[in-house]
Amino acid sequence: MGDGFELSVSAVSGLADAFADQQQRFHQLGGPLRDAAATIDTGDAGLDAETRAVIGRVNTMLGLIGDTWDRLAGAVDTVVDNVQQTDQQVAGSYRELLDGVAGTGTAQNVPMA
Amino acid sequence: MADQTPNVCGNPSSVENLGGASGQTASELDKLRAEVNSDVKATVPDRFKGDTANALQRFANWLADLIPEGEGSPMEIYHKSLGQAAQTMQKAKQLLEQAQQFCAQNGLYLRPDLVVQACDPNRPDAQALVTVGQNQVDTARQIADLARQQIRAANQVLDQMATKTADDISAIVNALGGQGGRGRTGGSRTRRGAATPRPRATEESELLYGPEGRIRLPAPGTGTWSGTPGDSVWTPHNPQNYGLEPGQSIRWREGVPDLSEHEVPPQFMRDGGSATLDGLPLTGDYKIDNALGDQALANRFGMTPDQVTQWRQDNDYIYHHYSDNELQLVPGRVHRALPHQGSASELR
Repeated sequence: MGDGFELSVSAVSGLADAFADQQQRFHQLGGPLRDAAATIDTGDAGLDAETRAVIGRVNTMLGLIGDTWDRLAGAVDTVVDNVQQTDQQVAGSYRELLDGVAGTGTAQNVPMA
Repeated sequence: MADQTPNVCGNPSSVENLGGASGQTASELDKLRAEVNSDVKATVPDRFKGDTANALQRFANWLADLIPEGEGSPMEIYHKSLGQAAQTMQKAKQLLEQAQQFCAQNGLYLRPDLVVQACDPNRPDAQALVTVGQNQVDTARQIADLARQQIRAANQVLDQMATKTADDISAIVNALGGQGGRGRTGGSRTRRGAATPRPRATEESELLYGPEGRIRLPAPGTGTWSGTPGDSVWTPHNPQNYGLEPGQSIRWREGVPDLSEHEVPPQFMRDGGSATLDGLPLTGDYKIDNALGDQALANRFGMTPDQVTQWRQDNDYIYHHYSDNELQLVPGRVHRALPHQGSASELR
């Protein structure tokens, strides 16, 4: 890409994959907490319920972080898609140009110097 | 009678289990935070520049700020507090068992309401024994109460963190508007291979069809339109997300943002002139059109096109296609953040 931007699709895809993996782990983090809270026994039923409610809110928070991470993964995906789309559009324009001007027929990839 | 144990002390193991689970969560959060930092740092410097790099790094920092790391993390504090509470509760339980043993050995019994009574109230030493047994039970109960206070205090700290963090995240998500993202299953990973060439709406944008064809607008909920969406003034709810100052807005005309109000000001142009370049034979091909813009500015500035390119890069200035013959030189922070399909799309 121009303007000093160098974007490798595979590298950025890797970042999106990492974010997607991380968002799933955020969602899974609350499982053990929820299970442990379900069996809590402090000798005070009111405190037990309060504790479960707090852990429920922690799970909500972890889920929201996961959702936010999911959006980040999606945004990075969009970057990749847009780069590929632009690349194909530019390539298409040049093919049309070459086909029209030089009559080269079917466009083929050529080695880069 | 004394073998009926009142549940005044609860189950210390259950408290310890919850503390252990929170410790594992704290540890996993630390790992995740480190991975996020590592992934971003490994990718950003080489692959992204300018505002995108800043945004990604800010996101990684945001996570770090959101949930402090290590010993100071609320989850870790919860882990330790519940561990202490479990120990306190265990001590209370032992004291209660000792009190029950004392009662059983001395002709006393413990009622479910934790009152010690003599099996034979007429014994001469009955009252003295009841007093000793009751003191032991009361001590156990006080220590159990102390354990519960520790749990309540730990709950309070964790709850404040969880509630505040959830509120903060919700505010951010609401500001972004709509639902989006990759999907929790990660199923969209196969999508990139197909790489179908198409304009697509993202969570930050909305793809519509107007008289001039496809137009991409900021998503509903991210700002307000003074009139027809795409052909009026759009004021974002969170201007900073779009590189704008509070109160600033963007004028759209026929589906294309007119960024003339946000152009590079004349005092920052090398010749003190306008950042609008018109009368250019634009093609819609960014590379060609950037070269046309750089050549036009090179002529004005008395520089070579390469020097203009370097000047733009150094200052993060980008050409915005406003019409089929007009480029607007704008700060990258404004241009990149704004979902749109400029006139370049129409030219193509």
